[in-house]
Amino acid sequence: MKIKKGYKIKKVSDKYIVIPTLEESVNFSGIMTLNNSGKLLFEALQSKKSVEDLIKLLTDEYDIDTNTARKDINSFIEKLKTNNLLD
Amino acid sequence: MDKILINNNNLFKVIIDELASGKKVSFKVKGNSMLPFFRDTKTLIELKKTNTYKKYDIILFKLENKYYVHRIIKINEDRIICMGDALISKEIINESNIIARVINYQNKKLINTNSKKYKIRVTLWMLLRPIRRLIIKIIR
Repeated sequence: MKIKKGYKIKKVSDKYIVIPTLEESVNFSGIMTLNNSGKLLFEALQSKKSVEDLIKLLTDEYDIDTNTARKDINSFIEKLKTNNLLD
Repeated sequence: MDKILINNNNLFKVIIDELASGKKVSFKVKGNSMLPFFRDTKTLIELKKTNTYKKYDIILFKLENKYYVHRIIKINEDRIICMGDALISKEIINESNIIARVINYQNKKLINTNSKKYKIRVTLWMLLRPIRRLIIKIIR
């Protein structure tokens, strides 16, 4: 899976927000926010990745086990789907 | 979805960058200073960068490191006097403080700030200014 083209990430305090770059109007009320691991996954998904690739990425970066990583990634993917961000 | 506070100055920096690049930007208003037109956390306003401004425009401006969305009530040469629709205190700014202008807003229906009906409501609200505190109390 892969994230659609036309989005950029900007840091706001201790979080990141996802801003559409192709639309002429940006709605900040419904904007998607990311924490540090979310940002890592978001950036990784700029190119095609499998769930296994993402698990490896998270377990390499953070001190967590495979099951926790898988759970986090699944909920992250759900969030991307809800926001219609997956290609 | 995570809520993000719009009265956060860091977020406003991002919003201003987007406006500066020519994008329109919308967000839900924070606070009731623009009652009866805007309601806290309910009203979605859309803004666009502007180089011209006139009396009764609602503008986003920065004053002493704080951001406001208030209405221009008077223009005195280079002094622009702004006020929240529900308030009686004024802010005195100049052109350099202005960031953007509200082009439409949405409670239930989308209202364009160029529409005739909206302008009539604004004129009426301005006429009621001497008793606005009383009316706001009733509305709330």
